[in-house]
Amino acid sequence: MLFESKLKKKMQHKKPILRSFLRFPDPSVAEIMALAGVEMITIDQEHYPFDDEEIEKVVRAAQCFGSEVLVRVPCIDTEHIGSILESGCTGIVVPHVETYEEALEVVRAVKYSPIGNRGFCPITRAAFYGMRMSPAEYAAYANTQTIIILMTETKKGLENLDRILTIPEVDGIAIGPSDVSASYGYPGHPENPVVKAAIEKAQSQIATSGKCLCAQAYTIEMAQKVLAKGATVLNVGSDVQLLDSSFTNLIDSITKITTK
Amino acid sequence: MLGRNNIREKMKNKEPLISCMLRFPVPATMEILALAGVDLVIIDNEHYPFNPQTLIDLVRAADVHGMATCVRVPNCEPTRIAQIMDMGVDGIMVPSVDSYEEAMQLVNAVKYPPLGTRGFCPITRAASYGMKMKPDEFAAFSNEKSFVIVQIETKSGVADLEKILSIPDVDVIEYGPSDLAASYGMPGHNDDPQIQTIVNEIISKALSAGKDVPYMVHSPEAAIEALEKGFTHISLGSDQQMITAGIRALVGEVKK
Repeated sequence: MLFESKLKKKMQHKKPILRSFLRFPDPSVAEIMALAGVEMITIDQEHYPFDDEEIEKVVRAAQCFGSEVLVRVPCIDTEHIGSILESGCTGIVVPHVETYEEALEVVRAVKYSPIGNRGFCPITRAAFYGMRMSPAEYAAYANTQTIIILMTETKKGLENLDRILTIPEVDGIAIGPSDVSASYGYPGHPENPVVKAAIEKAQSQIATSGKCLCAQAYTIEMAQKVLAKGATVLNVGSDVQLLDSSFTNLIDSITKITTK
Repeated sequence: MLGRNNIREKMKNKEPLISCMLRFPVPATMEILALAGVDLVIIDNEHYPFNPQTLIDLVRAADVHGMATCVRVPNCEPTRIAQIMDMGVDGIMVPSVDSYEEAMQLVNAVKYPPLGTRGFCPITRAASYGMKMKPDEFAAFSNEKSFVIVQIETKSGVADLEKILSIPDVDVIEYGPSDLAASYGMPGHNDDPQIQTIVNEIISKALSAGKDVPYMVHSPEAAIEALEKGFTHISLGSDQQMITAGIRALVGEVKK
């Protein structure tokens, strides 16, 4: 069910959005995230296995508690993107976008004609099973609600950022610091001056464009830092990271007592 | 989601309600029923198979739309009822309740102390994973919002009806004409005057005890008749019946 998207409105007005990545295909985890205040749950289908049915279940779970789902797909596969969107998720996140042409390909996969060429079936879950609006109304409506976030993670991608930012249908851009540092020849060193300069330049290009800058905010300090750079979509970490840190912290502190 | 659409209150206040049964384990069907305007779906786990994981996904599908859910379980086995309540359903329905004691068993399974004996875990889905209310608040909330449907389908159930109706936490009374006829030794004779009299007695006693009584209809005309008779809760059959009727009619037309 592509309900009217609160996220789309917030992105258009560059209001802050709290985002988390879902890596375990369990709707309950999505519900806990939603109840905790995560507004944008991004399913990580690039690095973790999610079946189509599981994606639909997670979308329902998020919607039970007023949150929305985006799916990070592994690559630009037009038909795959189309079928993921039928779940009623709000949008698509595409990693490793390097060129203007690739970005346009994503737009064509996400949007219906006349903007794109997404396969049209007006009786899917996204389309309220055909029960809420006419097919023509739905196509126009969906084009206004769906969200596109691109990830630029390479030297080439950063060099092409100017042109990518001219595409009206792109809502947000995220920069992957680890991949960027690798593509500059300094894997594992995002703090390298050359890499750092490239990332900062890209961040300001995005923040001063009409697009939303999506950034990692795993700690309060990181959040303050990226907010100062103009980021509005803040990734607070994934279920995997939060489970890891809660368990580790708790076990560490209990171990200190038990080994005294 | 338990309590989200105040279904129990609506039953008590005799507000108009439309309910329907779900027999196929398909979340999309649940959502279509919600979009069509159904207020309450009863999942028929007496006669149709539903895995626990499927049940919880069906409840989520209803919750997206704020539609209430209830599961018909085969009997009053308390552990199973508690597990289903923990998913966030609004109510439980049990068929063929034969005595006051059995009805009390059902109430005990659905309600937390002091009203019942349901096992208490305040971090389930029903309890919003412990993220919205304190445990004691949740227990009170659940007791207030959850509802119980008792089906009277046997001679002994009819004999104990008045005692069953005296239980405040029995909210809804359903009757089963086919099972009743069988239990009175007249299987298949639902229209026999004696059975009709018994059915009418169940309905009038339940209504005057303040219980909600769903009235099953299969046509708009029957719904009008029910409303004129003073029924407020209209029940519409099931997905299985609607698919059967729809496909039969269409195939029949095409074959002509």
